[in-house]
Amino acid sequence: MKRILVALLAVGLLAAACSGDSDEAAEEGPVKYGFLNGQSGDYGPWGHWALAAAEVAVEELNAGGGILGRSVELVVEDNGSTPEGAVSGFAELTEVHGIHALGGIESDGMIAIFDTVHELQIPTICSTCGTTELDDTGGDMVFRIIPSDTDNGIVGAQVARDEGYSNVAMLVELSEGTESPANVFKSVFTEQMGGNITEDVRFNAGEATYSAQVAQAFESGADAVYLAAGFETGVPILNEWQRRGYTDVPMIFTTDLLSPEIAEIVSGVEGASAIVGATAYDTEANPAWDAYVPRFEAKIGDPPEIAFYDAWQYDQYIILGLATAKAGTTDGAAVAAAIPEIANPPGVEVFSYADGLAQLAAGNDIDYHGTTSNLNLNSVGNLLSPVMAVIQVEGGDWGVREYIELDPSLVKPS
Amino acid sequence: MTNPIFWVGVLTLAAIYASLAMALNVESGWGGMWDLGIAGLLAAGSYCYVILTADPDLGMRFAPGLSMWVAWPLSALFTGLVAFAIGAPALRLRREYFLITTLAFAEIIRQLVVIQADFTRGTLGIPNINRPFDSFVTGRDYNYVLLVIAALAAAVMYLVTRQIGSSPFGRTLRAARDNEAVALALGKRVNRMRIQTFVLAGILIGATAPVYLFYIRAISPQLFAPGITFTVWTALVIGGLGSIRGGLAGAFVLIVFTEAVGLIEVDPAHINILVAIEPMLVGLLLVLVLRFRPDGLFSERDSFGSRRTQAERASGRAATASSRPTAAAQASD
Repeated sequence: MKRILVALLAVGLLAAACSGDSDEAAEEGPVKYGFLNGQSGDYGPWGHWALAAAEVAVEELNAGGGILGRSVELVVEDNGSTPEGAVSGFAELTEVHGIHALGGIESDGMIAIFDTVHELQIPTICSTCGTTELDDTGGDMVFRIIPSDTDNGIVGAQVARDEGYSNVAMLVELSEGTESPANVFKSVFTEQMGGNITEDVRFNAGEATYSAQVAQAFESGADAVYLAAGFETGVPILNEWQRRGYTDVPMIFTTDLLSPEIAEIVSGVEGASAIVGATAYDTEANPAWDAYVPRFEAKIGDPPEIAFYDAWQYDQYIILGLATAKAGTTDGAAVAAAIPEIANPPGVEVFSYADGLAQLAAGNDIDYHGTTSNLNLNSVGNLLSPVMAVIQVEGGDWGVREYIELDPSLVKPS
Repeated sequence: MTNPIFWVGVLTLAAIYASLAMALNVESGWGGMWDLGIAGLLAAGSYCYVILTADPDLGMRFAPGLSMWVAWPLSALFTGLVAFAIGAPALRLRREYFLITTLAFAEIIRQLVVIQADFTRGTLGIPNINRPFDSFVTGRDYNYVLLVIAALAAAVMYLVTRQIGSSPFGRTLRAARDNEAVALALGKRVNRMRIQTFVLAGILIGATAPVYLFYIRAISPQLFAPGITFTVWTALVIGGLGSIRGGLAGAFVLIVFTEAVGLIEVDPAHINILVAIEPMLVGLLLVLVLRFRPDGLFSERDSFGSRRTQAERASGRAATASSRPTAAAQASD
């Protein structure tokens, strides 16, 4: 028996020992960027698109001659969409593969590895975490290039106000990614705009039916319903919305619902009222976006989708590449210090890695603009003032109705 | 070669799961109570510890800011209380009914954590968990400290559960599991013993909870999804349900094997295939173990048969050639 046990452990340890590359992040060999993301679990449905976007970025870095004369390698690790998976995945990326920087991580995982990221000095860009926990932290080693859930909540309230809604019902899934913007929305809408919440209905994912919750919200006499849900719960809720004939009540969606499947459901409903969402997606007359779209489409066979976070996954590695080039080293602290320098003005505006590299080689400062925004960062590493696209279903898919800036008179709830 | 720090982390996680599996073995292996609520009890202990030690600046309604050394035993006791609250009604049920009930209670605990956001910060979670000795040892080196803590916790758990298993209490527990009618006929208060065992397992799980948090460094309700329960069960089944060493061995084999599989390198474009294969390989491990070692790596017979033989030899009685020693016979000793 003991022999079997020892053999099993030995095989595991041997396989592991043989599979590792090197120890500490070496200054030789390829520059390694980690991609720690939920390729399985709750975020699994988005994983394929996210990874494809990251690969497009790394291909661009290598096509531009690599970084500091070294090739770039994307090291992928699945975190299973869990904090425990993020902790063990991050350990593998840093201790086995010796990554120089990290991207791809979601909110729960980011919170779990936040302290370790700082201790190990691994520059990290959070491309899919809206958590309000990062609103006041970060900026030295952790950066975020998507809007905070605070921004998402505020812009939702702003849209409700601009649409003339004074009574709004809320349908909110009990998860971090949906409750965070919903709570901000509620606070801003009621306390700063004088709006009224007719019903605040919270529900769990995976319930057998949402009939009662949908009825509670839509029969509350609201001018509109604010729906904060993930994709998997959004579909049955919208089916219920359609089946029960509530289609004359407008809705405001959170970002995770801005998927093509949802657009298909909504567009198939005759006479459905305005259904809008808003997110930072400033793609109009944007050379970075224009260059990214065909390459992503060639990679995966489909165009980028707003709610799949893929464009942000792309942006983060271009930022890391330019920051590493600017720093002239893969040292974590130096790269992290260079991130705001290449993302923020002053500097020559650039829209690709090659252009940025050329400007840096010429001795110029650069201000990199990404596919989704100008990526200007504030002192805590968050987007400074994201331009938000108000998005509406048009012809069976989501289309940008207008671009708006966050109303500066609306402030983050305390 | 792989940086040893990585394997230090893997062994730390394995030691934590070993502690949980050994605690589960007390109630399920010996008590016959098939508990699917491990995640719920772990959540109760974890949140108790975090709330008691949380930084008052986080804005939680109740944050006394206790020392972790005070909060740690209190978490264990609190989890025992929660186990009592669950066990009192649930232990009226048997087999699959008990199993479903404990699963439901675990989900209720998770939902309470979500709903009681004033106390728990709800889905937002709590970062920056206080960890022992982190002002003395920082950075990568802290992984060694954590391994020592987790290994000590597992060692204590092993000694405690071994003591329980070989005590008259443990023998009676197994006797009641094997034949409740006989145990009752012998005058044993089976129901009371079961709830004592369930509470005891809760205390042991609650004592392990802070170690798990030291490893994760943050807490959120998502952490306590049912998956953690099934991992603990898998470890125990691999190691040997009812065996003293089963939980310990099973957790190390399972976690080391899982992490080793995760180290297989593939082209990023094929990561989805690897992700799909990983659980299949773990499942294959389980199938192989159960095929060639139906009782797990260590059987209950290995744990208790030899003790009985020794006892019989010591008392001068003839050694029996019985196949499986029945707990009922031992309990009547």
